[in-house]
Amino acid sequence: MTPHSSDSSQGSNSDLEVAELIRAAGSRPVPGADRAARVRAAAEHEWRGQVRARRIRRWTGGGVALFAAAAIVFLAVRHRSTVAPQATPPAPTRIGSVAHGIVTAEIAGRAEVVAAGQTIAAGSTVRTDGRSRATVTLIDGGEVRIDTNTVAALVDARTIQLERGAIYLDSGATTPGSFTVRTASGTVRDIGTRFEVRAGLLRRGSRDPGARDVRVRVRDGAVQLEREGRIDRASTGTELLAHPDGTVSTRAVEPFAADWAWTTDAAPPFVVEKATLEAFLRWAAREGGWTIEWSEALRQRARSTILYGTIEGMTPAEALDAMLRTSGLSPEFAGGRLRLRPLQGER
Amino acid sequence: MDDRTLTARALRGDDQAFNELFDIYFPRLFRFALRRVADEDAAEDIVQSTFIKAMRSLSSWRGEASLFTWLCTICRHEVHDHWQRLGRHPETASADDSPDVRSALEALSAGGDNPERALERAEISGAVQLVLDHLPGRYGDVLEWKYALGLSVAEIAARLGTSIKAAESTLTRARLAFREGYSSL
Repeated sequence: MTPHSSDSSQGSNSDLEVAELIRAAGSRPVPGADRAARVRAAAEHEWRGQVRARRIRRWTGGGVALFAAAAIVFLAVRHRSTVAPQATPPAPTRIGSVAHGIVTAEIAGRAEVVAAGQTIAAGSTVRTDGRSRATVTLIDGGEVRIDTNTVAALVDARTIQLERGAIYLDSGATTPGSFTVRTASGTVRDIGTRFEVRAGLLRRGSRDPGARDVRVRVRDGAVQLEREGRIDRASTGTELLAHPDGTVSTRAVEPFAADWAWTTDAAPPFVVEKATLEAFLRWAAREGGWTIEWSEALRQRARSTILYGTIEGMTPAEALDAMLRTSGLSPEFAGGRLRLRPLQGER
Repeated sequence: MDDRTLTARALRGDDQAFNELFDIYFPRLFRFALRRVADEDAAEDIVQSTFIKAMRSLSSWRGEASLFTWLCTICRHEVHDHWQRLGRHPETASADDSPDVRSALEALSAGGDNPERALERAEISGAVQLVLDHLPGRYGDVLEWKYALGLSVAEIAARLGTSIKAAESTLTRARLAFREGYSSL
């Protein structure tokens, strides 16, 4: 047996040769997620058009009765159109833009790849594949971070219909009004907060396509989950799991737990170059879910320290470690608290 | 889902089938194109055109050749057009453009008998990856997950959405297909 093998069916010398050969060759090169997203959007657009065309061809091949019915509808539409010329459909309302990552946005049957800097219209259904995450900054304030394999319709600037996958909402400190996230299993409303909604958690491993569930995790603030006439509330550090049978369970979830890591991965990276150490520490603490404890002298020092370099690809904890090592500070984590002290020998 | 079921469901407008079809064949076609043009941007354009044409004529795939072989035929034409537009010809032909090897690989895709001709001087890793790309269904993926990435059978079963027993059988068949394919090169 090799270190990698655990299946009993692999044992003969020739099987081991196959294993060695493939291991030595390594993984095949994989095209980048952005390339896959662009090609997928183009292929999907063509595929949907072909499926629609086939349906129309099948329908028009249905016989004289159908043709007659269609003709009546056509005449009615023609007649009406001579009375009132058809108005040009209004341009879709812009509700935000992609701040990071790449999504496919579909509106009125037309799908396109939307990358960082491009706008999103109200009514768009956004999708991410198994390798991409993204952040959409909303025009009215706040942001939506989208996990991999997610489908969500941005109904308007405050309403999201989550079909599957997970989103994380940060309503921001000054955002007016609250977010509403609708899922097949209930509606989640926030009261100024950061929270994650994940739909279809149980469906992934379930053979029952009707199985409906939703999980809400509140990082700070408070939300309420409404389903079938029942309202459950959750505040900072609470998880609500609504089961397909209608029951709702609650448990504690740490705001600094590793489960939140994907939300940082989905967000634009912090731009270190020429930022102050204080700004970086506040970003890292917010992303990591920690509360900073430091002396006034250290805070002043962090405010006057200018950083250079990049932290792209690092978790908040890794970035902290890298930055503090070069800034003469030492971090100490205790629960959700991040205590900062001068390194030994530094003042 | 086998190729026939996949295409039948995609033709009916099944989202899951389209996504599966894309996820299985996009990376393989991309590598197929990249081996011929050695330029990632050009390979992306070629594979995009390939998929668009394939979606237009998906109903014409009858299953005589494997779906991947059929997609490769479209892709090969797109590569040809690419070189024509540039007014140049590729300096080297890809290993799987050799008629002998192509027929061997097509036979592999169809799960047929061992091809007779040998591919000389192929680098081991290139040849292994070439064979993996041309194995039928998801055989190439399961072998890579198992041996290159070190996934357990349970993890492979989860990725395939099957039972552990079914994943073990797939691995056994995949190893057999790989042995036959590789020994024919």
